[in-house]
Amino acid sequence: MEQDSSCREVLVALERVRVHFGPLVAVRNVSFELRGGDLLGLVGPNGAGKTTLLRAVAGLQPLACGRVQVMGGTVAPGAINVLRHIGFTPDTPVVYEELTARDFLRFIATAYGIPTEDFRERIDFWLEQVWLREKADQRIRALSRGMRQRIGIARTLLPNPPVILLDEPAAGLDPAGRVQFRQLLCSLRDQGKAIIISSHILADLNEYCTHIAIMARGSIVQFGTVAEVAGAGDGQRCRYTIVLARPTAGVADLLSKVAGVNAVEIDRDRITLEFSRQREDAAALLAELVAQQVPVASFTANAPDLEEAYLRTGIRQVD
Amino acid sequence: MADIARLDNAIGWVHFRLGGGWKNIISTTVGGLVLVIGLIAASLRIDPTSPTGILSGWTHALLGVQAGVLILLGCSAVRRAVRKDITTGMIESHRLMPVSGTTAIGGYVLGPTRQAMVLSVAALLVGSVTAMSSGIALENWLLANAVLASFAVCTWIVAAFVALKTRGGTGIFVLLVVFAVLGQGIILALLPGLTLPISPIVGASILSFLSPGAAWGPAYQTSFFAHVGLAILCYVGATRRYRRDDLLSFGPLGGLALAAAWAALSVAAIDNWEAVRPRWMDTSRLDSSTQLVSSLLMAMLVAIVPIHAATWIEVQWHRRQRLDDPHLGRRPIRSIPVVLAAAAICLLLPAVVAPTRALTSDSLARTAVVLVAFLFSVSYLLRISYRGKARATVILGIWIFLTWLGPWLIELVRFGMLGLDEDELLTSPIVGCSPVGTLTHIWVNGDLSTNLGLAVQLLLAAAPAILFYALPRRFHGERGSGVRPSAPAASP
Repeated sequence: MEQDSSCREVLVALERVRVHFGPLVAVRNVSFELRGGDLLGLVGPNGAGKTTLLRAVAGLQPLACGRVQVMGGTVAPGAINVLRHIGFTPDTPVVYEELTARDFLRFIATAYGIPTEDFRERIDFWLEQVWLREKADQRIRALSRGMRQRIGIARTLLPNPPVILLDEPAAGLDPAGRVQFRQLLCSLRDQGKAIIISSHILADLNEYCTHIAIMARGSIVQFGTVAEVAGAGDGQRCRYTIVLARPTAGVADLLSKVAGVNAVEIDRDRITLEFSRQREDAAALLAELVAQQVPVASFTANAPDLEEAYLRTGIRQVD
Repeated sequence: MADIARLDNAIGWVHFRLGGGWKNIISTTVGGLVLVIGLIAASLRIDPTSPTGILSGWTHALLGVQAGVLILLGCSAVRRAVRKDITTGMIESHRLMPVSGTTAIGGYVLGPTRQAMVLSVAALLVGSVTAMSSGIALENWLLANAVLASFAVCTWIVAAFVALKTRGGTGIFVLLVVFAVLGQGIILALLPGLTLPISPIVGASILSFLSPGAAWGPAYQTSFFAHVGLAILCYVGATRRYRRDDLLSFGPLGGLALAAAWAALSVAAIDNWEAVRPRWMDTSRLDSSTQLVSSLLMAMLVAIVPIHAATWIEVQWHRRQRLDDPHLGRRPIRSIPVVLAAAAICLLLPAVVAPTRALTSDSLARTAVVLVAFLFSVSYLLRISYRGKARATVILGIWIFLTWLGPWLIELVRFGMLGLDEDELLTSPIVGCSPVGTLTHIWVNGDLSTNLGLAVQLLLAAAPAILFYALPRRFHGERGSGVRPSAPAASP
């Protein structure tokens, strides 16, 4: 799947993008580039500017400064030859509730100039992809929130845009829907599309994203591949999980006396803590616990993950 | 342009479907036809002695029905479609589609109005039969319908434009009707440029086409061109507005075109006043000089549109410049040339329609001073408000109230206390300090000195400019959010 990134075409380029809402700077000088096959996960607290940034990329949000380019063309109101390359699903997709799912997609197909002889087949394909084939002829009004979310995804993907922007797309999906959605995203990524997805479900992003951007107060505070972001921070330390044979009293006191151990969390027979990444140090800690007759059943260094990386940034909810 | 009226105009198609589609149209039309034909048959049966008179009456009534269907039903359908897409947020989904603004507005105008169009065609067919049976020439009936149709299409486009611009489109329409009706239509008499486009309804009305010997005279021709001009301006404005909410409906050039259109409408209407005037109104006492002054004052208000656009764009450009925008683009047109152009356009009004006795280079020069002083002050007030956080409409409203009506209020109070009469009020030098008073002195009262008034207005115009340069040049929102070093630029 991984190709040399320099060989792939830049599909999205943001240069010093800045968005103001009156005195509030919602997006502050954001710059990055995405190539075909990149799947960028945008994370951050509510109010960090993720939705505004996605809207700015889609050309729906006026920029106070900077430029967004998609496939070499500048995104601007009415630049229909650029906008046609962008698919955007907002967190609550807007649909015509009085229409059936099929009629709504037919409207979208007509608007995108998909030839009449093709669009029946394409609509059926996407209805199948979002698991709505059997609901195709029902009015959207009668469908659940999750199903509307799927129609919104189908609306975005029907014209086959090379750049896809998804704002909290999995929010209304059931667990099975999320699994299928993950597969769909991986498939789109592997087709060479550039995808930006905003989500709070970091575990999901960990699975399918190639890149992660952490936003806070309108700025991107970390940007890189998933491995880079997850592994960033203090490279000398990592988290360990220790499982005991049984809950044991006094372990917390014992650990507090060991130099270099911190962020200890004890949940019955499971302990997590932060400690030196060095193997020798880890071996010494394990030996100390065993010597103190702590019944250690397992002692594991955790692989770096996004949740940890996110918490490490110290970002709090925006007021 | 060709795809505006195409049946596969997606926005037109979807709003047609949302309105019920062909099923709804056919059932409504058939129901309407059965009702009308039944009523015609019943009226003929009740009074079989004068079928010609009854059918003539029905022909007139059907034209009224046509007007109601095309204008009221059509405008309401267009407005509803646009507002629905705006309030639900669907318009943002449309903006992402490769559908040009021109096509989209075409869809909004021609999609939801198909019901009205089909009903209208049905009424046209029934009316053709009743017209021929009652001795009304078929070509007159068709001509009346053609004039009505051109007017209706213009109103649909205006409805789309108003709906894209404001939430209360219906409110504005009701307000206009109330204003027009209040004072027995005095607003229409004072602003002939407003009366001209609606003259097929209120002036040499379409109903007069049904009289023997009626022809497509100058009044209709002028109003037809007014409809075309108004429709083009509103279409362009709606197209811009459709693309994104923050875009101005009229840029500096569009705004100047709007001011020129107002001047042209006013000139044409004042020249053809007898043909376009509301039929219920006796305007024999109305002097064309008064119409000139009121139209000129309205032109000054319309001229705010291009100045607002130029000022806004200029301020935004400076804002981006201060943020070191790497893609700043060319410097936009400055607002001062736009002020001068707008003043020149307004000046065309008295230059073309002023009574010969009053039209001198001195009166034109004095009018030019009034225009430039007012528009110059507006330009600086707008720059101040766009740079800060004050609302431009509030500032302008207060400024216009104080400078236009302030001197009149002072004099009204003074004259009320002294018990002086109306003529003395109109010729008062203090009243001459307001643009309304100065223009009245120049064009209605003739030889009165306006030097004091002009001097005061020049001083007043200088005040906002001085204030603009005296205030610190900081844009609203800059404090605490100044430019920071770039966020990590990344290229995976």
